[in-house]
Amino acid sequence: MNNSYIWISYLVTYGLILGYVAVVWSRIRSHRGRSSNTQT
Amino acid sequence: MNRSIARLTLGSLALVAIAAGLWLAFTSAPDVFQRDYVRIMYVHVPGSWLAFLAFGVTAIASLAWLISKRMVFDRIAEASAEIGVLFTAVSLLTGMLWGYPVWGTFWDWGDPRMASTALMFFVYLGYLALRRAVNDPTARARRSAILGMIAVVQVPLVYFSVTLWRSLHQGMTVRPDGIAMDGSMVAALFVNIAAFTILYAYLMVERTLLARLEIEAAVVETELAGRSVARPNLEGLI
Repeated sequence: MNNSYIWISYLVTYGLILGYVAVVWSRIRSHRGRSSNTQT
Repeated sequence: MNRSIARLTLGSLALVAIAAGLWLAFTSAPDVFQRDYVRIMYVHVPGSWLAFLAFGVTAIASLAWLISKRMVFDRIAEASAEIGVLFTAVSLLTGMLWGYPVWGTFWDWGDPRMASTALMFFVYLGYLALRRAVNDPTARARRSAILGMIAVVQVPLVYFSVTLWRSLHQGMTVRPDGIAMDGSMVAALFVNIAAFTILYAYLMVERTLLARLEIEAAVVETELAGRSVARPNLEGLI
């Protein structure tokens, strides 16, 4: 299947989802790291 | 169940469902008129469905906060609105990428479905901006709960816009009198809708966890700031 519009659609969709997941995970990790530093 | 096991299970389920959805999306039959471009529908329609679901959950959580004043509902409303904005963006972008080869245009402001979806996207961006503009947690929860309940009116307007007004956008494919699609297309569509719904549940668990950690961090920072303030020496002044 040689159709750039289809591939771009899937790249945009899963790129946005993965980007969002990465941002949420990194913020969770940074908060957990900060709270363990505060406790010590 | 342990929270981390629940996160892992939901995340793994979402991955498996997305893999199955991708496989069906690229192996199902092409459409007679749209040819292979119909495959864009398998991310566009689930994206729109998730936006409606997420904004519906925001409205229900907003009402629950107004009744109970429990902050957990405010965190659910915030998380769901943010995920809803993400999937509205997915729906708008994939719709444009489908529209150009099939309709000959990326965008048409005269089309009620496109215009109402864009309006819904900007209203919920405004909802997220409002949340960041108010510092007091109770005032923020109250104001965003009111907006969350008003903004949800757009969901049925967007959904029925193709039947209420003349539209370039195609009408409803899934109707009460039946589904106007080939069996392999129906399977690809519904498996992708199910996969996106599981993904939504996983994203909600992660995003509400983050919201709770942010509130805990704010409380700790306030306490630490309070400790550093020295008691003023008022001797001789009183």
